[in-house]
Amino acid sequence: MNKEKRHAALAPYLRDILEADDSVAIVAENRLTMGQSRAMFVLDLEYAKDGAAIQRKVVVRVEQWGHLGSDSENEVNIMRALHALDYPVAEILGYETSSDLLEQPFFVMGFVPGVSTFSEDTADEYIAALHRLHSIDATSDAFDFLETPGAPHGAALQQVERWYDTYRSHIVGEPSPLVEEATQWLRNNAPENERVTLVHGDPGPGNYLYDDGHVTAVVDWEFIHKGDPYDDWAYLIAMRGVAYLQEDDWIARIEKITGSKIDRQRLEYWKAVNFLMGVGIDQTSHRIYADHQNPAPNLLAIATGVHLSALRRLCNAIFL
Amino acid sequence: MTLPVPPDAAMILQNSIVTLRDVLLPLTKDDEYARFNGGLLVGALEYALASLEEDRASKNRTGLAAALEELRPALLQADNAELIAMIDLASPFEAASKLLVWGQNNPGELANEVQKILRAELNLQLDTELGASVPIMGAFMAGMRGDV
Repeated sequence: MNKEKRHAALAPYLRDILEADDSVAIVAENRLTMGQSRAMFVLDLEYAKDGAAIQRKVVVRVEQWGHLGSDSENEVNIMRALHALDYPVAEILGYETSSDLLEQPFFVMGFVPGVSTFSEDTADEYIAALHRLHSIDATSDAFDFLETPGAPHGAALQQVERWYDTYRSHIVGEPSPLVEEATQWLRNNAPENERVTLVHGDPGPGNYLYDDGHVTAVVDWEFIHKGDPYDDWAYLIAMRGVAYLQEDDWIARIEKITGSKIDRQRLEYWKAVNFLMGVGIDQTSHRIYADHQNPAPNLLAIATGVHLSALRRLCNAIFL
Repeated sequence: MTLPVPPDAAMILQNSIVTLRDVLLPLTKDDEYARFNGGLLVGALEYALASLEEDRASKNRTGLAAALEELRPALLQADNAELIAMIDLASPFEAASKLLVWGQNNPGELANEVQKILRAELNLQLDTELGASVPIMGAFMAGMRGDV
């Protein structure tokens, strides 16, 4: 969909959700390069409300045919719930579940100032925000939309099966024997549940914004679930954070901020689960690209190099 | 017939890469998203060009089938009908998948042999595919770093 059509579809929708007096003018659009599971547009808007002239930015986050194996429903629900708890997330302004307007479901959120490039100065504050997420009462009714993993191994097995199913349902051609074997190893070695908390699912540098040295928003909530907080710590250390700080540095910071010692064996297991997650969600790119649902070349990159890199790390984590 | 020898695909791809890189990409300097996609397209065309030079899909299939044949005597000696049925599946990828999963659930000497032979071939294939993806991965990672 080109920009003109997109703006023509969005303007009346924005008028309704922003309760504008009349029309909403989209005066600028910037499509973000970061973020692969959604198309992200920052819009500069001008409109009037109750007679007052308003200029504001909003962010439109558009699904991409199930790319990376998620939809917006849990993401919107968790952002609403956390915003109500004064957790640093953007405010949801509207959620369109149909594909009528932009050919895919999308939601609109308030713009939060900040940048997402790694900054060591904000790492500790971010870890504290993640720890705060893990400390929220996950049994509250506010989070009933998320499945609670069963005992004794549900937290691990739920994620293993989720990512394996994502992988299997998007195979193009033949299955990878290495994925099949690694998945069986993860099933056979699943640890028992310890704590079951809210888990971000994709945490680390790039998925939080900071401004003036402080965290302004935690973003990209599409993989939110109830599970083992080690899922997040492993992802932070081995996935998003691996290029920025040494593992021991991350662990020291986490231990200092949470006041709990990291169980290295448990951490290693969850690293492997996260590599399987990478394998699974990256496989969706191959299916969507092969089906011509989205011809964008980033899908080919994810379907090949990114997917294979995750598989290499998965195999190394388990079999070396 | 006016074109007895049509331009070959490799030549078209190679020349498209040059045009994209030298003519079109410089025009995207004010648009980060367009630059990102332009760089990825160069990488995608290079990936496609390398695929034309060697049929890696057939090579992978043949290589895995050979590894399975190498395992056959050990499976026959074990006289395990379930495993022999696996090795005779039409797809070597399906056969290797089932054998490796069996190995995880039945640790022992035979599982070790299955893992040693199949993993050696599969890891080799994985490394080859990773190498083939370098051009497009380079462009992708540059985009993720904001370096486009």
